[in-house]
Amino acid sequence: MKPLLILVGADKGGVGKTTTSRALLDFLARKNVLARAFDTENPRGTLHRFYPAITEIIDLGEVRDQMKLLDTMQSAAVKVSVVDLKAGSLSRALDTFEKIGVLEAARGGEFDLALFHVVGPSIASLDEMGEIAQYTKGISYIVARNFINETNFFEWDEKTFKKYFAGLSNAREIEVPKLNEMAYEQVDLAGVTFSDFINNRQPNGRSGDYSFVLRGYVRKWLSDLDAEFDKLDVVKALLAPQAGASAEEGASTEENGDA
Amino acid sequence: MRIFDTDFPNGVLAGYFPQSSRVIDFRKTAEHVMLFDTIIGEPQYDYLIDLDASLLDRFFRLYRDIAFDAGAAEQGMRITVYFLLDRTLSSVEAAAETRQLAGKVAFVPVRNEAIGNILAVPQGAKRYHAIEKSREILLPRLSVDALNLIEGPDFSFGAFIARNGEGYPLELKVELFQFLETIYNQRRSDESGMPVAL
Repeated sequence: MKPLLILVGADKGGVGKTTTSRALLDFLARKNVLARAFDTENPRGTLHRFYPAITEIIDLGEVRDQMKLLDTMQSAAVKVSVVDLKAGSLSRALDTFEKIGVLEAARGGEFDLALFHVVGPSIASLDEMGEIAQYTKGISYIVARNFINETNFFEWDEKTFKKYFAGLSNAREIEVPKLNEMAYEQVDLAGVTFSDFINNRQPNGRSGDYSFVLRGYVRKWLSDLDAEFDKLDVVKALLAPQAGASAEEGASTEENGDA
Repeated sequence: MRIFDTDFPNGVLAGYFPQSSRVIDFRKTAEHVMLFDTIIGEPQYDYLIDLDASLLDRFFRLYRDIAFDAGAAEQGMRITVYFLLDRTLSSVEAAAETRQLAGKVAFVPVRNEAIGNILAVPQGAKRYHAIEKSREILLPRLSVDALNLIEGPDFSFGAFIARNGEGYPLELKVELFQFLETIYNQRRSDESGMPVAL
C-alpha cells in the first residue's frame, strides 16, 4: 500500500480543523484502517488529548519534526498519517512542503497526499482557497465546508457563492454538518473519541454515564459525516486497496489535473 | 404517570395535573435533553408527553435522530403515539409523516367527531387509510354543556369517576359516562400499562 499523508488545515482559526481531524480518525478506526496522527498545536495538542496513543505533537517548523513525519512514511508500519495543522499554519506548511519537495514527490506518485481544507462561512476563510491554489495542483484537494454555526456559505448571494465555489471544479467538497453545541461540549468534557462517547465508554474503557440524547446527537452527526467521507475517492481507494489500479484512477479525479 | 407538557409557558395540561407535570420549553437543548434522558434513565415510570402541534416535526426528527425508540425498547419500554387529527388534509399529511418518523411503535390516530370528519373528504380518506396504524380512536361529540364542564380548570375525570358523577346533573353525568365508555371500549387490552404515551 502506498503511504497516504492527510493534511487537515486552515489559516483561519475556529473553523473546526481538529474536529474534522478527530472525525476522520474516528472514521478510519471504525473502518479498521490504522492511522497515526500528528498534532502541530505545539506544545499542547488538542488532538493529542483525544488520541494520546497514536498522536505525536510536532512543530512543523522544526526540521527534526519534519523528518519525524515525512521520512518515516515509507518505513512506518502504519501507512496513513493524519496531520492536524494548527490555525494559521496551512499556507506556511504548504510553502515549506513545496520548498522541500514534498508536494512534488506526491505529484510524482511516491505517496498519496490529501489536503482537507476546512473553511468556515466567512470571506476571510473562503479567500484562503485562492491563496493556496498554487499548492493544490496534483494533490487530492478537499474543501470541507464546516456548518459549525448552522449558517450558510453565501448561497443567498449567487455572485459571492460562485466566486468561491464555482471555480472548484477540480476540488472535491464535503460538508461538515453542525453538531449540537451541548453534545460537542460534553464530548470535549469527556475527553474521549466520538465513538467512545456514542458507545458510552470512558477514556479508561469503563462504562460512562453520558446522556442518551447527546450520544444520539453525536451518532447522527458522525453518521452524516461518514457519508461525506465515503464519497471521497481518496477514501474509497483507501478502503479498497485490493482494487489497485481502479482505485488509483479514482483518486485522480479528486486531483487538480493540470499538475 | 409523569407528564411532560410542551405547551411552554402556558402548560394547560400541567394546570390539570400540577403534581405530576412539568412544563418544558422543548426548543431549548437542555430541556429536551432532560426530557429524553429522564425517560431513558428512569424507565420504571409511565410517561405522557403532551406535544404542542408546532413542535411535532422538530420532536419526531430529534426522536428519530437519537433513535429514541430503540433506546426505550432497550429499557423495556413501549411507546404509543396518539395523533389527534383535525378535519384538514394537512393534518392527515402530518399524521402520515409522523407515522414514518415514529418508527416501529404503536401509532393510534385519534379523530374527534366534534371537529369534523376527514374521512368525508375522498382525498383525506384515501390518505388516512394508507397510514399504518395499530388501531384508531374516535372521540364522540360532546354537548356544549359537557364541553364547558370538562374544560373547567377544576374538572377531573378521575374525580368524576371516583365520585360516580355525584353532584352533576343527570343528563351530563350520563353523557360523560357514555363518552368515557366509548373511549375505553376502543382501548385494546394489550396497551394497558404502556409506559410512554406521546
